[in-house]
Amino acid sequence: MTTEYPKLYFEDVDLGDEIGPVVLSVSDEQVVDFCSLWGNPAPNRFTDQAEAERVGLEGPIVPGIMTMALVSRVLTDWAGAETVADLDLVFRGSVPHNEPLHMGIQISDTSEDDTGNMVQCDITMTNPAADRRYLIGTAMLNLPSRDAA
Amino acid sequence: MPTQIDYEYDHSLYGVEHQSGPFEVTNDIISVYARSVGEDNPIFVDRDAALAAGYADQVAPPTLCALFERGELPDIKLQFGRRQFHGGQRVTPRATIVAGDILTASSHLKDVYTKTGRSGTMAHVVWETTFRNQHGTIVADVQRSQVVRE
Repeated sequence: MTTEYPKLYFEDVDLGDEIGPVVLSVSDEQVVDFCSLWGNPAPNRFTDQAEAERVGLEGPIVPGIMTMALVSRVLTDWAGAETVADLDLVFRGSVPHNEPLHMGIQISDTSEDDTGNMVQCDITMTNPAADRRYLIGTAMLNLPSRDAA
Repeated sequence: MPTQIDYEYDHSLYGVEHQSGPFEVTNDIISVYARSVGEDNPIFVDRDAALAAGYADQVAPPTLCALFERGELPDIKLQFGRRQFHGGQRVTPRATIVAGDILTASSHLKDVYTKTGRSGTMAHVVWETTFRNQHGTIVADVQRSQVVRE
């Protein structure tokens, strides 16, 4: 039995609620750190300008699974550490380093069933100033109820 | 039942499970992962805080197992396209992963399908991986979509 107290209860949210935009940015050093974990040491297209250009990119990009980890972080910062039941992302464009990444979350459905108190969220990551859309997706969160607290 | 597409590839891969691992989830892996994405939840960054909260060790953030999903998977020999990119990722956490866990992965080809839009035709190659811990408990399902374009 763990005792981490929830940040958000099911009763606190409603259909249509919006969170953000949360503006993130990923530094070169963060990407190098991340790449060191998954057997993709620098230099590579994620960390090096020349390597990125060699494969047709404008510059080094943030790996997809790192972008997913950032989205997950924003969700757990908002809702609590162990609330993510499903995260499904479609990458629409390469995510650059050192640029503002505007992440938006909107609640698109809520339901209570045998699996829990489920909150479905639509997710976007964009850079409005550059007219770029980096990802779309959905998350399913399982939130605790105040009734059970 | 796989989607029917106009391009040839190795259909014999359907129904075959590809095993990889073991992957040890260490405190160092969790800490570097957490630091690189700006994570500051105490149970993800501080072993003592996780222990105090009742966990067996430092807790892995929900999508960490995707790090281990890039095992050697076979070439499906798709007779289409030249340029590949990561088109999508889905993670469904099933149980808490903590430092000290030893994960194994079982992956299979889930589907290959095409979509045609303004920029042309793209083929999506979808692999599905199930991660289990040292107790045989399923801890996460992961889907990865690799996109191939003309």
